[in-house]
Amino acid sequence: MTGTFSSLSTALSALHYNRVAMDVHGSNVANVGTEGYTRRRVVGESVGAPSVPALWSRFDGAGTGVRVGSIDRMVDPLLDARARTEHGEQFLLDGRSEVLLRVESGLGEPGDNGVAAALSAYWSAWHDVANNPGDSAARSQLLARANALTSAVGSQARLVGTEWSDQSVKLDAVKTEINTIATDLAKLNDTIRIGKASDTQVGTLEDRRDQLTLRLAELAGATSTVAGDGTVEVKVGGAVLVSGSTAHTFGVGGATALGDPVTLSVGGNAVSVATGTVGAVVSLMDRTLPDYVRRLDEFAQSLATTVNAQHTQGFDRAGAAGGAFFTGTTAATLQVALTGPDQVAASAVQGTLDNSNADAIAQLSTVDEGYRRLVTDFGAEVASAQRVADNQRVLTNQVDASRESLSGIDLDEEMVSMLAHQRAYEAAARVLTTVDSVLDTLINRTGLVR
Amino acid sequence: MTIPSRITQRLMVGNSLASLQNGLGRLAKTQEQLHTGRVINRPSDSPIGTNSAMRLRSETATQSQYARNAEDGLGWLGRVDNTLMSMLDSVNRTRGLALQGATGSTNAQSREALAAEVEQIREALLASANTQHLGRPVFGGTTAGKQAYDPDTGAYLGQPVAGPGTTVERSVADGVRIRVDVTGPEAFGPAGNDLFKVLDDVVTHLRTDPAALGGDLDKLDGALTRMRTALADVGTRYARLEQAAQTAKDVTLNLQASLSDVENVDLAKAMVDLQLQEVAYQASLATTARVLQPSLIDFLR
Repeated sequence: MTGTFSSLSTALSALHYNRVAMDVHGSNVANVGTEGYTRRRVVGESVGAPSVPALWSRFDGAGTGVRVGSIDRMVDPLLDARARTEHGEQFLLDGRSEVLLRVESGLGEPGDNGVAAALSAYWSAWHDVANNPGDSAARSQLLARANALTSAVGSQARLVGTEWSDQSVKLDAVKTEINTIATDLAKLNDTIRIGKASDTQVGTLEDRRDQLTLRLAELAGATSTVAGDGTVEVKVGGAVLVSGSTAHTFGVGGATALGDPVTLSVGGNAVSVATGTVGAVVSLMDRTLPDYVRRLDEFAQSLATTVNAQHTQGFDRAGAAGGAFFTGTTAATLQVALTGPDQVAASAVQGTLDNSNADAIAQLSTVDEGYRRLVTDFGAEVASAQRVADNQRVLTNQVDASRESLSGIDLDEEMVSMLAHQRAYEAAARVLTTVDSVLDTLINRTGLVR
Repeated sequence: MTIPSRITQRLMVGNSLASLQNGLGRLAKTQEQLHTGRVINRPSDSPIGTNSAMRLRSETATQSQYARNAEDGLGWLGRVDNTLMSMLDSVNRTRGLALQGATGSTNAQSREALAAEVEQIREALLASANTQHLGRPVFGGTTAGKQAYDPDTGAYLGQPVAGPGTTVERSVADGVRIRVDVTGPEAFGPAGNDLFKVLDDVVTHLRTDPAALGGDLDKLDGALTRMRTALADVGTRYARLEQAAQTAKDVTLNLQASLSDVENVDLAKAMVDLQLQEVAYQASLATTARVLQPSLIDFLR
């Protein structure tokens, strides 16, 4: 038999449980807009017989109330891992397409102000010299347009070079952020482990931990595994960055000028990172930007070689054999070698106003093909980067929606739960009154005869 | 995007924002096209279109340059044509004078007068033979000098035709070069035995040996024939140049039309697109406003 007052304590447990439940739902409502907050749910447990029956401790109660079993964070570790992967991929693609778009806008193609337009003007000027080989105005114009062409090509090379330096600075900033987060995570790991061991609520800390691991995934494609004691192990490029309360250093080195490969390390061990912001920056710095400059250099070289070969076959205004028209073998160093308009070798026959050499050079405009292909290929790369990023965004949004669907707070639902607990609280209070009145009957009225 | 089974307010806010962003993005794209008037504003808008556009642009520049080259050549040939025409008249006149001198009835005094006139004509012809076009003697070939013939001696100072690089030519189409000059020896006979030498002889013979004028007349006829041939040649080349200039201009127009097809925006289509996107954007704005407002809280007392 249970004691006389056990019903009172049953009612009290219900009051207590429902108050906790309303607290939790209230907290959910309060955090409806908090970034990284995951929905909490109170799991009630009815208090009943001990799980291990024994001979002299039989349980003969008939319902002894309720207690708070646990307060659960509504998360799915698999979904979180998936979100980290997709976010890493998204940051890789977004980072790439953002920079590619910027470089592309700087090219000014197709239009009236790009290298292609400067090339057209340059070949046109050769035709004009061919029309008037004796006219120093036509020759001066040719030199002016050639200078415009070399500076257009050079400024394109510089544009890509500047972007490379920007990316290098960005990589440094990202490195600092990664190391800061790694240190924070290591401290958090410690706090969570101790908190869990002493059975205190660590939900808020876990929210923070998941936020940080997600950020690391976005920055460096980090993978995270949560151990049983609540600590998380983070790996970047396969090497351990954070384990327990230890954070290793993420290092960046190697690249000081365009063309140098970037080297990454975690705790001194070389790693390679192919996703996240770091992946984007490294792929741009190691591959995309140097490739563009290399092809631009090839074009500049072929332009210089082709024009020079024909130019040296002619004779200038004074009758001397033509020299090299361009100097320099790269886009950045391409310069006009001639110093005066009379040095333009327009004539194929010494000492005459023949125009056939100028005309032959004007016909070399097929060199443009190389530049056109370069721009077209780059455009295709940018377009594909954008398309892939757009596709990935759909996937990332889907995964985020699934996470939100699980962990997000629905105000309607919270209201309904709150109402239910309010009613349960009221009912428990009524139970208390009822038991009180029953006891009143028993204590004050029993045995009295009116 | 598939809608998950459990919907939260934040999910709806996020989705609404994403849709609004998409709508605005599309609107901005169409707006950019309308502002610039072009569908291809950067290579990635259409890599293949970019290639076509760049090719068409450079080809347009080349073709309009060819048209300019041909126009320039027309100027040169026109000058040659005019000069030859007027010189032909003068030579005809000389022939008349020589014929007059060759008849027995002319006395020495008259012949002296004739000789003086022929001398004048010769000087005028030499001046004509030194006609310049943009500072270059049109009968001088590729010479760097200012004169085709020495005004005193009548010796040829220009560059005679001798293989490639010795004629003045203009590129008027890919691989097509048309000659725009006529050198002195071609129009007036080989140096030492040319028109001016014949005129010299006529003057001398008028004064000293009228009997030899018959031979001079034959030579004058030869010179006339040569000049007419040169003139016909010039006319043919003039026609070819005109045709080439016209062709280059036509091609330029065609290329510009193609470029416009590739690069420029179809205004009607863009306007319709803009309207559609505007309507879609307004619809999603209205939906967002209506969906995000209500909550169970509004209905609880």
